Amino acid sequence: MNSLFTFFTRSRRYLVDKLFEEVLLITALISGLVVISIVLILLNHASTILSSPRIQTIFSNSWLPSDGSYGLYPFLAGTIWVTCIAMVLAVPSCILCAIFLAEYAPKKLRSTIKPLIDILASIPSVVYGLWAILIIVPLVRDYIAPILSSMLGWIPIFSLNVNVGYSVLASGFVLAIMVSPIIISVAEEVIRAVPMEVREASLALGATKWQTVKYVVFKRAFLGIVAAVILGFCRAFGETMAVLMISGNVPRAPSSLFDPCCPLTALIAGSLGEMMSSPIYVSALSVAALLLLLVVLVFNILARLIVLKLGR
Amino acid sequence: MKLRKLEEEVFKALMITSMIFLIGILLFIIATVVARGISSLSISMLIEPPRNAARDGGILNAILGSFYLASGATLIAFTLALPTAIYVNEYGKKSMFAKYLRLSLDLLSGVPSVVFGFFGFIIFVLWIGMGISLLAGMLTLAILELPLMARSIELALSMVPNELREASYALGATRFETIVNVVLRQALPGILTAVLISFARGISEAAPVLFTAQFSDFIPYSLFAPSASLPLAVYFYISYPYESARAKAYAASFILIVIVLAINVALRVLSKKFMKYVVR
Repeated sequence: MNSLFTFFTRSRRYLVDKLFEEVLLITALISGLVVISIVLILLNHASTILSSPRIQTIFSNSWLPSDGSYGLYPFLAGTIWVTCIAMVLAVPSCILCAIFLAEYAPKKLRSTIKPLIDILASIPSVVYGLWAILIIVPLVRDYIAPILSSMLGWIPIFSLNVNVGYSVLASGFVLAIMVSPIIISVAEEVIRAVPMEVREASLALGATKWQTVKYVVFKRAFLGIVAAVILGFCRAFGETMAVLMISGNVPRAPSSLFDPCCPLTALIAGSLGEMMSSPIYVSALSVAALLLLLVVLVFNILARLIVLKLGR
Repeated sequence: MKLRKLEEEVFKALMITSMIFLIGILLFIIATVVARGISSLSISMLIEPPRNAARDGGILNAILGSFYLASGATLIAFTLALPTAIYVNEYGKKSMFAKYLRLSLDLLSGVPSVVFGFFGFIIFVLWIGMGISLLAGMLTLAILELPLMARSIELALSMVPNELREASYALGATRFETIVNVVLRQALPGILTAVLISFARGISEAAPVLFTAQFSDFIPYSLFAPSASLPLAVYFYISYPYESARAKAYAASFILIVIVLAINVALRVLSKKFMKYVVR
């Protein structure tokens, strides 16, 4: 009787244990399938337009859904412009900030600045958008655009075609701030991971601190900093709400910093009303979403490969 | 000799300038939002839904909607993220499947939020046929929160020292008993942190709910009704031509900032307080 009891209880414990493992496995499988299902479902929807004769219009320059022409080029151009400006503005200063935090700042200062950078990262993007509408857009419209274009107007990208403030420059600037926290925190981590001995060797040879940072630490951390920049790029590339609020949403490829534009993300987010209307419209948007997704996935994998290589 | 000292000084000045600039921008953003927010905040703003095309009333619809959306999404994400994290950390470890899971979660966390919104719209709103609804919004937000939460919980689990597991096995406990009674208890502060971070992420995202829960001037009364949310209140009301509606955008962004800052502070306090009870 007693042994039967132990058998029973033990087997019940064993059963619960096995059951638990199966449940975990199934949930983990579901979580693991999400990315793939996003790609597949977007592909499935995109195939409607990709297999129809309208496919040529995808690569064209005109976005006129009412005429059945779904050219994504203006939006792609908008995304590239905005992202490039964000990176040009953000990368140098972010690397400087990361070096400052990792190498120069005293411990106490670092531990006060780092929480602030975390807060910067957690501010919702609509709040960035609101702030930009209140501050940056008027600033660009009333001061930066007139002054820069009168001084540098002979360079095509500084020419003033329309002056609304809602522009490539305003979006790029706000994106630059939004990607700063991720670039800074990853780059700082990478720089701090450079072994102390390397620095000491350089200092012992008579190099100044800055020379050590420039020639030794930066060189060792270079790949990691590239990974940080790539992660920042992905964030800027996929950012939606802030860009939707300040890019101006004009479906034309911009030719100057002060032109309004409409990045891919803003195209998707902005065409909610039309989406119900026709499957071909949804399909064109799927192509846009797929484009966004694939670029971000490829660059993310690249950044991860770099980090993996560093780990060795 | 002089030159290299000069170079160092120049770069140091540049570093400090860019650091001050960035912190300055942060303070500027917070100051702008707080100044505008406080001046447009009132009791009726907090306890009334909008009336008369957003000319009167408040933003109770968005406040409640956001809480429903973010809590529901966090709950759904948790039911997926916790088992996934346990599987990856306790069972999978270095197997191919666990590696694939980590990779796919990391990739998922890099997916642009508007793609989640579009995906949620296609799946939940069109295919499953929930329509524009609170539930569709929750599910979409849950997918967005999933990778962040799963990876943070996994981190918390991986901090639990192996000796504790071994001690539990040595006492004859099964894996299930060890995980529930020892590992999860030890990792509880970390898990709580993960949940809070995900909640903050969920409440501040607008693009995923733009397509799925959309917006409505009414307080959500059912899971299948459209629902407003704070980020979308900011987005929609700021484009109104009259100031009484724009005041709602300021108030909504103020509330959002307060929530996000409060969660940030709470995380710091919590992690300090809880660390005392955790075996290291």
